[in-house]
Amino acid sequence: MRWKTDQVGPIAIDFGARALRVLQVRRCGRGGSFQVTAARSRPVEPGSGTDAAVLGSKLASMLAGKDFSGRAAVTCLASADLDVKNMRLPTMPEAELAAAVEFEVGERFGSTGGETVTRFLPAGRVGGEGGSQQEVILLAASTSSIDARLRLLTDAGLKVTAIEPPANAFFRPYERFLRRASDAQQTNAFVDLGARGSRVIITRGSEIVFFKTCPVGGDALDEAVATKLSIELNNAATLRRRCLAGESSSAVEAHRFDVVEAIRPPLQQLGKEIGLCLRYYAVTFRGARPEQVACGGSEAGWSDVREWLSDTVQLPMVVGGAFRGVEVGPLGKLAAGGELCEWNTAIGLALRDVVEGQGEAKVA
Amino acid sequence: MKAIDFRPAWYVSSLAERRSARLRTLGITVICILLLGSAFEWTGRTSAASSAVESLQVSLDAQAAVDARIQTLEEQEAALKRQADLLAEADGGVKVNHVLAELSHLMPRTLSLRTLALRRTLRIQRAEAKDKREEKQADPQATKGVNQLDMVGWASSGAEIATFVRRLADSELFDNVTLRFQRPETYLDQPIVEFQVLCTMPEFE
Repeated sequence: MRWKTDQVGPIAIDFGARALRVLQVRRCGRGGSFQVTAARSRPVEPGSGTDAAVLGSKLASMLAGKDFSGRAAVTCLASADLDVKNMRLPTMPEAELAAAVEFEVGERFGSTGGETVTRFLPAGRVGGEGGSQQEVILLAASTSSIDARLRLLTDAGLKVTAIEPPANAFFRPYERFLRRASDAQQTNAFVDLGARGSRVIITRGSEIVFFKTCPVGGDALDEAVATKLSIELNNAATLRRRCLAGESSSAVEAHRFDVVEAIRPPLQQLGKEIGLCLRYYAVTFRGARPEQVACGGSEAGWSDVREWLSDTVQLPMVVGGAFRGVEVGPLGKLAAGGELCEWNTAIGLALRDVVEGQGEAKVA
Repeated sequence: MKAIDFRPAWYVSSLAERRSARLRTLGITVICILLLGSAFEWTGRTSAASSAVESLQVSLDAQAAVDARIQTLEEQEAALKRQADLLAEADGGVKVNHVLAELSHLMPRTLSLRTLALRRTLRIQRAEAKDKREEKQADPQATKGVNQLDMVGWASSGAEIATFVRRLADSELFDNVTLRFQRPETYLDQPIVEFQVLCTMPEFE
């Protein structure tokens, strides 16, 4: 019987810097296969990404119709709305850890509990298994940004079942394949190459042990091209995409060298950041170095970008494959044969309540 | 991976309250449906009982009608039985119309009857008993009386009178046929023969 074996997940809403993406998946049977039942994407004009009225009208138009089922929705905070700090605390039971983290929040962020909402991720013991301290990833978001996002979704008639940090949503599609006992001590590195910035996520087994946000993203590359060629930002973005797509027209070929020269420094900077993160992990947790870095996000589809980053990081940069085991369905038309890298966060959000072991009950 | 949710507590609690309110509403709805179902079932049972009572009433009425019909039939049977007894006592008597029909059948075309008298008397029996005394004493009907038929009429000739008398004598309905007299007469200048015939016949109704 279908209603017992198939489970429709919540509507995942990814407020990206360049596009608003809405996605819903269904778990098929009792196995681990999923199917995208509905997906829509609308571009967000630069400057209107924070306009609640514009986003609300876009969201309402995307949810119109009968493609999406139910009103449960899950979303994530923007990277700009989230403060991340790594801190070390003495080793203690997790029940006491929450109180200790709450105390440390006032000290480090300098804010009261009414203005910010803090959550934490226990990263693990520092200095290997026998370490006396434990690393905690502290996440803090302002209540105003959370309330704004809640209002936006509730005005669209949705029932918000979760607001996640973007790193969790990004890692979820990969986490479901890292649950074997042999994966428990395996280190994996992920890079979310977004428009506004990039996120470096390092995991051990199925747990996030480190993540850091870097300000270098697609927008930074566009600005570099615009500065180098002294052209408008929109034109720079178009030119950069055409160059990275391998277009061989005369207009593109005339500026290809300049574009590559313009984006190479920020990519080197990002590569150094990634290398520093990997080194920090290796020194702090004494863990094994990952064999490769899986990429996702709107800029991860460019093979040249991955290659230049790989030269700096000294590790292979590969496309993550967030849609492994997922039948893309209507998403295939939107992707037009692409790698679906920009849907990485959206599919992670959509899988939240349908992946076994995840769900609303496990609220921090 | 540890799940992290940034939803504020007030929103989570409001969702929980909404969910519990929905569950309460659902529970109340289920209870109402059950009550309605019970009421409908009770109504159904009541209507079924009413229809059963009505059926019983109809059955009783039908039985009463059958009883009345049986009583009527029994009364008719008793009346018929009484009539049959009377007929048996009449010993196979015949009706007057049968007598008249037989006479019209036996009369020749040119013979007509002017007087037809039916008498129930013992006088003729006595008169005839003088001739057949021994037979009448043996006949039990003789003690009950004799039905005598007296016919006076005209005929065109004596031959027709003879034919009429012979036919009467041959009929099962008449016995002791006797021609009392016949004499020639003239009626409207036409020659006719006047006659009188006497005979006996069985009991009649």
